[in-house]
Amino acid sequence: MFGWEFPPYVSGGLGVACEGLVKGLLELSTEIVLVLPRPAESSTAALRILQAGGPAPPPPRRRRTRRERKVRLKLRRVRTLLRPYLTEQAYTEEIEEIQTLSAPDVPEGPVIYGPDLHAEVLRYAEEAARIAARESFDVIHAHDWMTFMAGMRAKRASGKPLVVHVHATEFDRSGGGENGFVTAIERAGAAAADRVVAVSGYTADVLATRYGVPRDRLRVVHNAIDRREPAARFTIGEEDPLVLFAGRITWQKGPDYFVDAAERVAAEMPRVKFAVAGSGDRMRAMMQGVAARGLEDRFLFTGFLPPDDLDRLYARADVYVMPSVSEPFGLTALEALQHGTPVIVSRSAGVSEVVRNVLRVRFGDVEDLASKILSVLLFPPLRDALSSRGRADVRRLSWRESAWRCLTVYRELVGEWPAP
Amino acid sequence: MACAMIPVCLYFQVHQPWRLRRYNYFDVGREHRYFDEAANRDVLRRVCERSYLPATAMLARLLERHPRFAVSFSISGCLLEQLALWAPDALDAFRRLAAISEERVEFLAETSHHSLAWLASREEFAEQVDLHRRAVADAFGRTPTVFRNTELIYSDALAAFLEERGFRGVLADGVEPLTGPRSPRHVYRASTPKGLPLLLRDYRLSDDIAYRFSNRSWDEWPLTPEKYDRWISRSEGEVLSLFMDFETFGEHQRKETGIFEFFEAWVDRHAAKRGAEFLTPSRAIETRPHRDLLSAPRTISWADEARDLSAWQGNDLQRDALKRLFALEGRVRASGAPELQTDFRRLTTSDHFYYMATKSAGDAEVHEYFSPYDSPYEAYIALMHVLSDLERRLPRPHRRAAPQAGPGRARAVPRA
Repeated sequence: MFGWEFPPYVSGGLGVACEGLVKGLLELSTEIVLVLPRPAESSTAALRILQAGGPAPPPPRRRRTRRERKVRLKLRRVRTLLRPYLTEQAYTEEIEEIQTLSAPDVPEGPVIYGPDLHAEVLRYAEEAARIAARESFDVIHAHDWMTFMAGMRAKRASGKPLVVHVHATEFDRSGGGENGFVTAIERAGAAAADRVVAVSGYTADVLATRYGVPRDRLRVVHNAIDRREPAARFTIGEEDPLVLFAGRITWQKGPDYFVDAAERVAAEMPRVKFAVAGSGDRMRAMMQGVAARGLEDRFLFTGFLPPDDLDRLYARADVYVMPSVSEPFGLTALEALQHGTPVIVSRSAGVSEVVRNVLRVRFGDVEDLASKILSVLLFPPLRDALSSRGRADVRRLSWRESAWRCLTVYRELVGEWPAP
Repeated sequence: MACAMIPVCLYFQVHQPWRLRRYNYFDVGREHRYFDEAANRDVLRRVCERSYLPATAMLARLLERHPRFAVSFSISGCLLEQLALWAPDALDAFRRLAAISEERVEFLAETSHHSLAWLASREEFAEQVDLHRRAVADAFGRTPTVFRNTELIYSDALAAFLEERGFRGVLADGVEPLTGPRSPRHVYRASTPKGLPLLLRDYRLSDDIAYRFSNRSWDEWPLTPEKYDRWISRSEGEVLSLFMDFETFGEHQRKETGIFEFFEAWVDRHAAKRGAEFLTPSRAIETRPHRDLLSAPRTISWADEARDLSAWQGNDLQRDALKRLFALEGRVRASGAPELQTDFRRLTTSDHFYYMATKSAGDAEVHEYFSPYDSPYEAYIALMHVLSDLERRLPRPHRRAAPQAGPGRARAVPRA
């Protein structure tokens, strides 16, 4: 399995989804060789984590036992700055910024930055292909475009079937101003793949209509969420209603609609506050939008939050809003629901294919969005119903089930289907 | 020699609600038209074309062909208004049926607005019953004497209320909480001082047509007139009540399912039998013996699996909305303004609350089939904001001075 993000290095849903699937697959007795660009902690008998390229991992403190050495977990890392959500321009900007500040999600230690995005992808693929030639496995599973070339190289080297897993497309990220390089990789990966797994029916439609993926090779495996203990809530300013936006602040996530809706809500409700958790290339523009509307004293920008703090914020918020322009899935909606926070999402968001008890808005309909935010804040029975029923929706989901669906895709490819 | 064939009593419910427009928070104070005129007109025209026109034509043929065939309708006041506005042809079709025979075509009483008023206010309920009686008299020249409450909502208290007001009988669903081990195929007496006659729906044989007719996974599919008539003729009792939505014909069960051909062929077949009889509810009450006194320990209805009030009052959203609506009743009446009365009454229609149900599985499918909304929450939100606007249009109660806050800003503060 070619992954990119994996805990503890996570900046978005991809890493969470990848971890969830890996854990689910392990529960279903699947053996996994996971190739990551960065070091990861855990290795078990069934999960070998390999780092593609880069220096060898530090030796373990004590001598490994014979048994431990036999575990099929190897770590191979390619040190890159490559992250799934970056556009080429943002990539360049981020390299510059990283030299001056240390974002919490940037791994420590020496990081080799490639001169540009193209080179990073190619180098990862190169390393991955070498790893694939050494390893034994039945199916190749590659997550999102950064690893598609690696998957294709591995397929060529091994002759094994390739599954590409699409968590987001360049179409979602850019909405038209597509990066030709990324799109080309996505198209090539989808064309070379024996199966294309989409995180939602919505994304499957995008792949079929915009990428020309034949429907008979498309499968939908929805994301899920693991049950977590309820978090303690932040209690600061508890008397004021709080509306939350969390996630990467990028065009795709619709931050402008959030600010527009916030303006209308703030005009009606004197004490309501808005929290924005996350960072991204539209953060500055979002802050400027807030300032231009004179809403500085209503907004709190937290920057990127570690998971525990984000949990506390979900638990504190009165309503979570995800006004995405194009949302393949939207895992944060599940996270919010898990904390009993009512959720408003864009109508097309993939997540609304698996949960019923959310409010949905047509993307760009700021008045409807503002009205729904106000409705949740004004009507306790509505808030309570969305909270308790939304939480129940989420309890029905499990990564194990998503993993099982992946497994059925693998089985189709290795001729084991129908499985016992 | 088998005992006499059981008479069949047919009653069809005919109703369309005044569906709300997508009313949001910002409409409060600026938009006083609550109902989606275009959508309501379109739905009505569609249902007329698919159902009311062909179905009334079919019944007209059957009434002409079979001198003993009889039917009854309960037509809501909402629908009568909509027909007058947008489908006078369909209203005429019902009138023509009425003209065929006074004895064999009966119109039943209900609330003017197919409402939940019984659950919230006796005063409003009584007024809506009177309104409906006048509307039916205006439309068909008849005064209904047998009552059916919204969605067959029924309780002992309702029966007593109706008896007090001079009704000659009432309809209910023949469900176990009411009948106990008894067959629904008799006229019973309600648990009231005079034992108001009670007609009970045979829900199995009714739903075989209304719900299961086109269901291919039903083990009796396809239902043929022969098979259905066998079931009817085998049924024992003194009256067999088949109660269902009139939209069963052509709307719930599309023309393509063969529902029209089925029904017409079944009536032809049944009516041709010696001793076969069709009764209107009034005739059934007049001619059949009145059996045991039945008591409903709790309120029942014909809706959902539960056959109780949970279709409209099953969750907090529904209970909150009904409570807030009827909290305005007194001020609406005191205002004396007909347009406020009309808007208020159109909001009492059961459908608005039905759309807010958060049930699962089979019930949810039926609710979704009827609902114009994306989710129950949207239904609640629209109604709640409409209520905010309606409240702002009402004259202030005398005791309290108007608050100082300007319009628009203060209203976002949750009301106590």
